[in-house]
This record gives sequence, structure tokens and C-alpha cells, in this order.
Amino acid sequence: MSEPVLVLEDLRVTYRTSGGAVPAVRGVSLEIPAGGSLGLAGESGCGKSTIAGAVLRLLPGTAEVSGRVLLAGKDVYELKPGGLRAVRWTAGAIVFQGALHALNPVQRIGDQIAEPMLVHQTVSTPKAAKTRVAELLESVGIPARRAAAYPHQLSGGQRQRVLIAMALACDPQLLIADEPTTALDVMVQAQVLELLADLRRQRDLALLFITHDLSLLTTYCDRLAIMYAGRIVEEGPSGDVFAGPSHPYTRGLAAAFPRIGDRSSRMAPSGLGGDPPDPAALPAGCPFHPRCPLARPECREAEPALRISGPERRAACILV
Amino acid sequence: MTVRSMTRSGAPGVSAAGSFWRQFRRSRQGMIGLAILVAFGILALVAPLIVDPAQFSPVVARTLGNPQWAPPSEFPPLGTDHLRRSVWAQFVWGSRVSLTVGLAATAVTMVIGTAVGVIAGYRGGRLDSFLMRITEWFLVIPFLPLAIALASVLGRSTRNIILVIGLTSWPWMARLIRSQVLTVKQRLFVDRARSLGAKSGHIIRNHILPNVSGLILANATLWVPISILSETTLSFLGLGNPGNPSWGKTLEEAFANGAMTRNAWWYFVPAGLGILTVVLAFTMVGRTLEEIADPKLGKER
Repeated sequence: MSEPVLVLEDLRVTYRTSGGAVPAVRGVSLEIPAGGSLGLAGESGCGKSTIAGAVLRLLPGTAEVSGRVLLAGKDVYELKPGGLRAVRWTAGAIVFQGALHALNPVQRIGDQIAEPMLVHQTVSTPKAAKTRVAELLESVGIPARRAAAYPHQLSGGQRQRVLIAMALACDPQLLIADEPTTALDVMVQAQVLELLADLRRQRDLALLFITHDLSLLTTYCDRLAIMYAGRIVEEGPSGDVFAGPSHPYTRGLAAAFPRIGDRSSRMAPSGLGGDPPDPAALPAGCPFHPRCPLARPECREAEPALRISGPERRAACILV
Repeated sequence: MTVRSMTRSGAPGVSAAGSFWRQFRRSRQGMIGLAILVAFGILALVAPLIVDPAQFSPVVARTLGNPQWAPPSEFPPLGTDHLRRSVWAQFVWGSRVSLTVGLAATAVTMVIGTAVGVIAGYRGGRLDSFLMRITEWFLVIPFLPLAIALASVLGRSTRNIILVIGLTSWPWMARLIRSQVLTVKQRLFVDRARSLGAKSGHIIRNHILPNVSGLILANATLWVPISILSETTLSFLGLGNPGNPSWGKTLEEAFANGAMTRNAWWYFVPAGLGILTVVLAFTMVGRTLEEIADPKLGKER
């Protein structure tokens, strides 16, 4: 197998706040091979967006990062500012959530898509940039003449497509999609995701897909990692994990999606009781035990490590 | 309403400047103000064709054989002053001086204020605190004593009047720009620009400045009348350029030579009305620009 595009080794991120240290990510290790895709799922506040920021070193100054982030073989946290700027967008690019806010309202979208190319000087002349912008727009299904439009003249789905075009501008090896379809309606969401999947196939892109919607990840990702309270609690091939979860938390998440035509899930919608834990005050032992239907006394004592739970699968639960 | 939303979304080729002008044209106060400014602008531009500045010398005025203290009926169109000079000529020339000083002083204010405001707001931290303390230091010094002291140190010339006004009025602009930069900096597209590897200079040029430029333009327009009034004040206090009669200078001389007690209204009324009209026109245009730049201020929306 070729060198992985992204490797996280025991990544830890702690936010220093006036109320004390808040550990948002507590020792996450994962790997995405070239052309592979990983879905990262979890509830709000489990640290999944912090991981997205940590990969390109975009976290605010209050965040303390330890562990290693290897992007295309380079340790992002060892790079000098110039080297870091060079890696950003050429090795890994982000498709932001909230397309309206990620676009500058007073700049034409063509100029915004050209921006990464001009910053990284991957094109030599404005004319070449224009041609490339037209190509990119066509590749995401927007007519090239719309390059002269301002963001407010586009629909929500078109704006999200523009952000995807922008992410592709410097031919990155890895796309980080952080809730890329949050504010879109279901039909447009499906179109945007199909587009992402097509582009991945054509360009052999690796994808880190972050969302709380488990069913999307199963469709669009090879592997799945479930996060709870800043750690990965289960990972494995996406179909297997969704169909036969090992961790009680994954089971709760998977059960929260009703199956169409299934009477029993219609009559008794299930899900997880309780709220996600406060990262600043995690419960002792397994952080999931207060909400776990299968919790035992020993769950209060030690936090379980990830262990093999099946072929290519790992889960962090003593019951595995 | 429908028409507006159609023109907004249905015409991708229309430039931002075009839609700005369309909105401006809809405002009656903006158009009246603009018409007045254009009229005075033309007057100021053609002033050298109408008036020979040499005639402001009392010696030349005497050799021309002008009467002294002549009302408009005796020496049309606006009579003469105590030194036999034509008041009309002074009025025309004064429009040139007042507009030049107003615009140039505003430009100085804008350049310093924008530079300080953008750097303080964008960089933040200690540099921000340092620049803001300097700004406050300038803010707490009363304008007139500082301006008078500076003007007398630098000497009496039109260029120094411009510098004095610019150097004393930038702090307001710096604070205004800084606050706007602080909000723009928080927007996601600035993070996006940083995440794609852009340097600070690029982000400021491409993302910060274009998003505060509407505010800068509107405030620049509102700052011109303040600069004109400052020039008037300084000239009235005798700190203006004696050889270059501005409207403020005219008022000062009329006052100092007893035009009011002589009932020589033609000496001071034109200059006073000129200042009033130009200041009002700039304010009208500035308010309109401000409403377009910040739609929340508009009443009808």
C-alpha cells in the first residue's frame, strides 16, 4: 500500500479557557490511505471539527496541540510558516460548512476560486487562472459564465459547489469536508454529495468527511470512525459498523435512524437518552457509562482502550 | 420590491458600481447634494479662468481703480471690501481653496486612520493596545489648542492647514475602521483565506479592505464638511494662508474690519452661505452613501 495521505498519531487538543483546561480531543490516532475515505461521526462537541482544524493547523491560539499530524508525509506542527502555507490547500483542502459565510460577499466567485491558485502560483497568468476557473466550475456543474456572479446571486447548493470547486483548485490529495451539507435541503444535499463522490473517483482524492449524520457516512465513506468525548470509540468498514455496531454508543446512534417501512422502529423511535458530557468535566472511567444501557460497575473505574472487535474493526468497550 | 429583487438576482453581469449608482439615484437628498457639489466643483475648477489671483493684492486692487466698501449695486456682482478687492472674486477663489483643503485633509485623515485602524484591528494583541493608546492620546487633546499650536509651529500655508487637520482628526477614523475590521476578521471567509495559505497582506487587501471600503467612503464624505469647517475655524483665527483667500479667511477679514457694523453684508454673506451650502451638500451625499453601505440605516427597507 502507498504512503497514507493523512496520519494522526495520538492527537490531543486542549483549549485553555478562563474556566480551566478543556480537553476537546484526547488521543486520536487514525490513517487515511491515498484515495481512501474516512467518515468521522459523533454528537455536537465530541471534537470532530477540532480535528478538521488541527489537520491544517487552523485552531485558535488558545488550543494546545500534542501528538503528530502527518499530511502527505509532512509533520504539520514541525513546519515553518512558509512551509505550512505551502502545504495548506495543495496537500489538504477544506470544504467549509455554511457556504454563505465562507465566501467573501463583495468578490466575484471566479476571483475567489482563483485565489488559491494565485496564492500558490500554480498558474502563471490571469488568463490561465480564468481558464482553470471555468474548468473547475464546469466540473462542479455550474456554467462557466457564472464566474462573474457574486455569492448572493447564487443558490445555497451552487454556493456549496463553488466551495468544492475552490477546494479542488490546487489539486489536493485530501479533502476535508466538515459538515458540507448542513444548511442544504435534502435534494440539494444528495446532489452535492453525489458530486463529491464523482470527483473523488475521477481524481483519486482522499476524503475526511465529518458529520453527525451516520447514514450519509455509510453511503459515501469506506471506513467509519465514531467519536465520543474526544476519543474514537469505534472504527471499521462503514457498512459493517452501521449494520452491526460493537459499541453501545454506535448502536444508539445507528438506532436513531428509523428504517423506512419498519413498523417497529416507527412505533418505538429509539435513540440515546441524556446529553453528551461536558468536555471540561468528564465522568470517571468510560465517559459513556452514565448513558450506557449496558453499563456495569467496572465501567466507572477505567477508560477502556480500543481493542479488536472483528475483521479490521476496533471498539473501546469492555464488553467487546 | 419585486423589481429590486429581480434586478439583484437576475443580472449577473451588472457590476457592483452599477448597482451602487442605481441605489444612489433613487435618493433625492443624495442627488440634490451631488448636484450642488458638482456645481461648486465646476466653479472651483474654472476659478483661474474667471479670477486672476493677483487682484487679491491690495496694491493691484488700488491700481485697478476699484471703489472701497462698494455695495453690489455699485460694483456688481458682489461689491468690494475695505481693500477695494472684488468680493465675487474672493468667493470664487475661496470655493477652490475650501474644497481643496476639505478633500485633501480628508484624504490625509483617511490614509492615517485606515492604516492604523486596519493594522490594530487585524493584528490585535499588544500592537492593537499600543496603537489604541496612541489614538486615545490624540483623542483627549482638545482640537483647537493642538491645531493652533501645530499651525503656528509649521507656519501659515495651505499645505500646513491640510496637515494640521489631517493629523488631528485621524483618531476617530482609526477607531471606526478598527471596530469594523474586528467584525470582518471574525467572518469565515477570512479563515478560509488563511486556510488556503494566504499571507496577512493578501487577506487585508482582498478580504478586509473591500468589506470596509463602503464604510470608509461614506465616512470620508461625511468628513469633508468637518474638514472644511476646521479650515474655516483656523482661517478665522488668523492661521490661514494670507495670500490664498478661503471662505474662512474672508469671514475673518470681514469680521476684523468691521463689515458688520458698517452693514456691509455683501462682504460676509456669500462666504457664509458658500460654507453652509457645501457642508450641507457633503452631508447629504455622505448620509446617502452610508445608507447604501449599511442597509439597516435605510428607512424604507
